[in-house]
Amino acid sequence: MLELKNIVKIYNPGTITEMCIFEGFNLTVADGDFISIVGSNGSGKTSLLNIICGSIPVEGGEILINGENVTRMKEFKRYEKIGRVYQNPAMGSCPNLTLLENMALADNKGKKYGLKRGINKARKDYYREQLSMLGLGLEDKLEVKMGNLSGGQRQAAALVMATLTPIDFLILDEHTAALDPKTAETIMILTDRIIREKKLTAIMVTHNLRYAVEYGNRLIMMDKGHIVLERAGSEKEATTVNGVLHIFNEISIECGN
Amino acid sequence: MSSFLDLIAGTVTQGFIYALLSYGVYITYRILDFPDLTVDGSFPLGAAVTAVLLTKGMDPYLTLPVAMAVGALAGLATGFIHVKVGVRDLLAGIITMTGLFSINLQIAGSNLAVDRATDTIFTAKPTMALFGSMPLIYRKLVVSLILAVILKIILDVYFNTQSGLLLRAVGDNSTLVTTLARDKGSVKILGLVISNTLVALSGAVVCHEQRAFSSNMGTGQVVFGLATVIIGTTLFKNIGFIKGTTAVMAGSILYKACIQVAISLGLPANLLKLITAVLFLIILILGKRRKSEVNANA
Repeated sequence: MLELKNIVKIYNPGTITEMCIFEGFNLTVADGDFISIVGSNGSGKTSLLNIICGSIPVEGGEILINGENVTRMKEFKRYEKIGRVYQNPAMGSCPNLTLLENMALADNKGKKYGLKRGINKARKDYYREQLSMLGLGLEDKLEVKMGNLSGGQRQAAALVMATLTPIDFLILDEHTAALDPKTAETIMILTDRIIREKKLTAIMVTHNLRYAVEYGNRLIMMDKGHIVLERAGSEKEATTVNGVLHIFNEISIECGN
Repeated sequence: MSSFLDLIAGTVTQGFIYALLSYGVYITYRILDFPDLTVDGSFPLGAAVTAVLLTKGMDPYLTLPVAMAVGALAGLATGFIHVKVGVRDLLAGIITMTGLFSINLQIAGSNLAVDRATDTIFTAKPTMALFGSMPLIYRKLVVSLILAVILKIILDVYFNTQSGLLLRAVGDNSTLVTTLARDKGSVKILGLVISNTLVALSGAVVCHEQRAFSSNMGTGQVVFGLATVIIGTTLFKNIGFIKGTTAVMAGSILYKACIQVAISLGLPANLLKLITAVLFLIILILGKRRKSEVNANA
């Protein structure tokens, strides 16, 4: 379980460009939740993910993971329990390493990176099996340098890498936004399948309202650092894209966008 | 004819000895993407420590690990200044390099010659037992070849360990290292330590070879290292099976050969650094073209 309690986040505190994005923000994510978060630019979606992962510090409040206070825990430490896929497919892997080397690195997450062979040949079949689930033929490209794969292939591999070892939370930061519509659809279906199969707790930020409505068991709309709409369970299932779009537009009109 | 062969042997020997420095620069510049200027200080540091220890009568072979250990400390200093204090990479290297200049003077004075009677790794008993029948100049060639090859193999093996993969990852995409729950700062420090260990070893072997330390022997070594790395990796970029370490070793020999040719053609020694700088600029321009090609492919 992940809890954000009274989070205060101010950008550039003490300067004229000071901007308060969260003032007493609260969110509880239960185990097994798959939350989609929508909202216009600047509504605080990505800040929220960065706060959860520890990529940016908070000025107040507490972050609890399974009851443990991680507010002051360093970013890299927090990733022991978190997997993250970024908007930019290049962020999730090393371009100059082969797919196999990337998989081996990801497979060792949470363990010591010592002087043992980096690639455990016995694990190769497991990597192939994991990659073949994607249906993109990546299982035959283990020796190919990551940088030579397409954006969609890299993002799919990044998704597998992020979920290869047991994690508590999967953070998806607009992870389909940089892909063409067809590839985005493929990645979204794969994401949903991986989340179900591995029974992950996931938080997904997206600009695609249809994905937000179709996938996950909770939907949150944010605006100026507040949750302005929350639908869960059967109420979420009854939610339509048009309904969400209507609310989205109303907020945008209020803002003068 | 024999003097010509001797000249070639001497040049290639230089190439092998300085290849150790090139390996170090390869790690920082190519793998970590960290332009580390510590080299100009850690190279003479290795030589200074070696000169003093040889003079004091230490076993010549044992001077090598000691020099490597002090080199490691130099890398650790730069890594600490960069990662923990938050100083920019170039400046962190400059700070350590500048400090080391005085430290080297403290260790060995401005110049220190090692007595002819003192044994070096090229004249010590075990070396003589193996290669004693060869003239000194070829013995130097063989010993430096062995050193360069052994370290190349060790590095190649290391780059494929878990730790080595993580090191390569941090220069390639440090965000990934963070999401793998590893501190990217520590990995960078490790890389700087390994790099300067090799650089100091190179300085140590140069001291064995020349039987001398001089306080200004570090000047231009970074540029040399960068040039050899870029020459090597540019020349061999299309030959897939050639490893980076092999490429920079070849780069080092080629570079030393170029300088030797320039001197043989009557180039005044005073102009050497200027030629080095110009040569480096040309290599950079060639390398830059290569880099933009790489980016276009990414």
